[in-house]
Amino acid sequence: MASIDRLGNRLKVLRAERDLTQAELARHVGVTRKTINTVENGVFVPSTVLALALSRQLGVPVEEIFYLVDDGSSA
Amino acid sequence: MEDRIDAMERMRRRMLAGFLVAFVAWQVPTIVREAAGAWMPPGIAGASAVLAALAAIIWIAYSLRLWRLQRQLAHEPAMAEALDDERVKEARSRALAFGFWALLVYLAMVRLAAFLLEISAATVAQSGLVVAAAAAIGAFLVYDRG
Repeated sequence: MASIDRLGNRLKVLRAERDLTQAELARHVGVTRKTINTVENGVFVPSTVLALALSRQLGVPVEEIFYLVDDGSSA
Repeated sequence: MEDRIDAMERMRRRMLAGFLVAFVAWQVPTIVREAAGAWMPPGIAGASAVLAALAAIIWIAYSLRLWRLQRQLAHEPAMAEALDDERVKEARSRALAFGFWALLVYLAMVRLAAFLLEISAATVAQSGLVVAAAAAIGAFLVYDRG
């Protein structure tokens, strides 16, 4: 079984496709621009609620935004 | 609105940083002066008292600004919610945990120092409060950097 290393995301790409700035997306989901920035950079792992809010705002399933990155090792 | 949220966030960080610096600049000379007692030369004791008094005035000014910011946010719930989103809450939780561990380490060090020096309970209590508060606020500013 592969061990889960971290949460990856395509938030920056999906946001750019919709011509949204970080600040605009942040306002729509009720967080600060810095929070969107840290999610995009993988610094902050969002809650399920925020992930679903982003999913709804961008109009894509949550698994299209976020995915698990495994470290490639197996046990 | 988004520019305002960014601006308010930056302002809050500046206020907290000023609050922290003023608090430390007020408390540290006060604690050192009280702990040193008669051992401190009068000139240095006087200078540290003036420094502490100035820092206390600045700390009060920052406290008032933070209080005014809180009052302002009470009238803007959307802004308040954005400025206290889940990343900020997580940063605050981690900062409080850091402050707790900093206090434990400090108290352990004071306990060891007490084998060699005579330290009053008042000094330990006051310096412990300063360490815990300063560590927690400082850690929040670091964790909140993003």
